Amino acid sequence: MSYFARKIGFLLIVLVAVTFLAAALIRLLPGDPATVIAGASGATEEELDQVRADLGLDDPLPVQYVGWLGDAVQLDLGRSYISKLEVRDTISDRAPVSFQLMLYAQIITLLIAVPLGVFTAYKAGTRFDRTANGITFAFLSLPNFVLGFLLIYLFAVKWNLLPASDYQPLSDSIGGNLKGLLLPALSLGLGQVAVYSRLLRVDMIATLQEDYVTMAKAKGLPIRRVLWRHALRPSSLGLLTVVGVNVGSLIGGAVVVEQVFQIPGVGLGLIGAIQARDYIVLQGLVAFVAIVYVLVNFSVDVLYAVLDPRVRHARASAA
Amino acid sequence: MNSPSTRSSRPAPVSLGPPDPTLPLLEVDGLATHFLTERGMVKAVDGVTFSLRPGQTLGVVGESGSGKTILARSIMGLLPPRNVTRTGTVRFAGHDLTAMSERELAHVRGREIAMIFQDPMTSLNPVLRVGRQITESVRHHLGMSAKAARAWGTELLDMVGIPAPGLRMDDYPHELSGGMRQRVTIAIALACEPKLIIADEPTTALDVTVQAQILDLLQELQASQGMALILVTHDLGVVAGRTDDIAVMYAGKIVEHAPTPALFAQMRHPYTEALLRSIPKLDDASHTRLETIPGRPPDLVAPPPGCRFAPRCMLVQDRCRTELPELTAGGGSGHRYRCFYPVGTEIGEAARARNEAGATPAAASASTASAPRSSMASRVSTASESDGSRGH
Ligand SMILES: Nc1ncnc2c1ncn2[C@@H]1O[C@H](COP(=O)(O)OP(=O)(O)OP(=O)(O)O)[C@@H](O)[C@H]1O
Ligand code: SF4
Ligand SMILES: [Mg+2]
Repeated sequence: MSYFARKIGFLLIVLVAVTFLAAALIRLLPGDPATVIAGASGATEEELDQVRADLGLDDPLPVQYVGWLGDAVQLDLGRSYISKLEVRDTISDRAPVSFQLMLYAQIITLLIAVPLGVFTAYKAGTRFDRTANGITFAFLSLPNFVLGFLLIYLFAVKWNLLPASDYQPLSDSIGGNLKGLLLPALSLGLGQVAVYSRLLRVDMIATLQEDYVTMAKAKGLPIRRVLWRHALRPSSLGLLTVVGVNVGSLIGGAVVVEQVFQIPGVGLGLIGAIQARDYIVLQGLVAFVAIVYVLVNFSVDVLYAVLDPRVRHARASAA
Repeated sequence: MNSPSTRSSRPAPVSLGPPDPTLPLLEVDGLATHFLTERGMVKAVDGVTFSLRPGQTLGVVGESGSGKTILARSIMGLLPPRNVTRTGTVRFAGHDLTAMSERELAHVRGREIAMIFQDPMTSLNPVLRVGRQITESVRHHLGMSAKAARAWGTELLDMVGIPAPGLRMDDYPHELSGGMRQRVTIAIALACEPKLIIADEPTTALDVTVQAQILDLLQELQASQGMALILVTHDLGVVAGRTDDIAVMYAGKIVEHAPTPALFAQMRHPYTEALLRSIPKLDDASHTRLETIPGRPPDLVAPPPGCRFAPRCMLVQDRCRTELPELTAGGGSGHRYRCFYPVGTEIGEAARARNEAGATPAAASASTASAPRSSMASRVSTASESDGSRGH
């Protein structure tokens, strides 16, 4: 079996396992969706039973799950008990928002972390290296929401430079969109600068010992060209993997940041669904997040091969 | 061969004038490179002095660890950024390289002095195409256009004997064999038509059959381009027929330096003599590190106080253990050596005879040439014990 076929088979197993676990865990939450749906405390026991039967909540979990899965593979994720909106539509409304937030966060993080990693590697052991280390780790130790409130306090309240909570869709205003998402993206990403830059630094230091780097210097290339052209790419595989895998922790962080800045993304939707015991919405969103997570990791793998011709070569001959 | 400068879109920035054949191209004077380590100061290169005329070839020979690579890198200023001290001067075409900033040096490296590394498996960047790696120095130094540089790179690959050079330009290094890769690194070194190439054991990592081809190629190109060449090797046999001069290194110092014919006609230093005897047979695995001379090179943190070779020397006398011999001229024709009791001289052979007769503890056993390995080893260990166990 080819490398990619095996990989895809594995992905499918992961997806089923994750969504099943999500379905099981959701039912452990205290509270009964039937009461929420039937109108809080006023409903009689019969009315509640009726609601449960309608929704299939009486069926054993495996039966419910298989039913959901059967619909899900046909891209039917059901409707919210409460808003009656299609879960699919909720996702297509909210996902782009979260996606932008995470994308901006990754971009900002990489824009800071890559040059920092390159130069701290080049200047390893110097005061610059130690200072950068200290500052980035300080940011890493701040929880997202603390960083979020701090940024709101400084940029929105004190200096009045950026809005505390003003999400605008990209289609309305590019500037407004960027402005509204800048602080959230910073709160989400700044902590990761330490992770990315330190990781790149370590790999870069190893690469700088390589003969081909000395060779590049022996050619008389300026040091920035040696660093950026010869040393960065062979050093970036570890970083790339972590950037990909980190999407997972970013998703977790995004839930918090969306809450802090009231950004209508998947994270805010998840929180809303949990509060309302809206099982169907919750399960749909969790399945969506799992798919995204798994696909991101898959793409990281593919990108790996693009970045390093040796991997490409090894895979071609192994397949 | 078309010159890269005739193809360039803008004239080459002439950083250093054309070499005057009557003046030395390279003058290395008292060059010393010491590494600060936890164990102490490693004197990897310890006062090396020599000079090279334009177009001249010099073989630098020594065992593993004698400081050849560090010497080569010290000349080009390619040393680790920290915990290193380099003293002495390196003058290239009259300019002191040791006084230059990194930026100034960058105009010399690749453009005026190029380097070929020991292992072509590690000296090419795995993620960049061969063509890019060949052309980037002419693009940078000579400002050649991408198109001209590509044509020139293809021509260079052809020149170093790579078949279908146009196609190979787009290969990645891992797609080429070791011999082909070393040809690529030679092409890279030639790209800017430098005045000096330093080849650091360019064939050690290659198959025996490929070794001779690469060395022949280097020699041919050196002659046709009129470049000076420093050929570093641990194998005296490699440089025997290929270089004008030979410098033999031991423990960071040159111990014998002579025109090649003079050296082979009459080698003066006991270490050179021992090296000659250790030239590998054709069937030996040639990339294994040679240690055929009994005993080990000295600890470079605490070398023997007198002659560095004393613990292993067949001719050693008491004086050698306390006094460091200078590199002095002898026998005319630029023959210099660092020994109190040179091989083939009256006092040298008298010393040998004394040792063979058992007059000193260093010569516990019989004839040097026919002594079995074990007896040599025991003699060496006796010598270092009587030496007060310096080193290790
Ligand atoms: N960065 C360093 N720090 C400390 N010691 C070093 C360093 N680099 C080299 N040395 C030491 O310097 C000495 C000379 O090394 P060098 O690489 O020049 O030897 P060589 O003659 O090229 O040997 P080989 O034939 O194995 O290539 C060795 O003893 C080595 O251990
Ligand atoms: S004879 Fe003395 S000086 Fe000459 S190499 Fe041997 S030990 Fe050194
Ligand atoms: Mg070496």
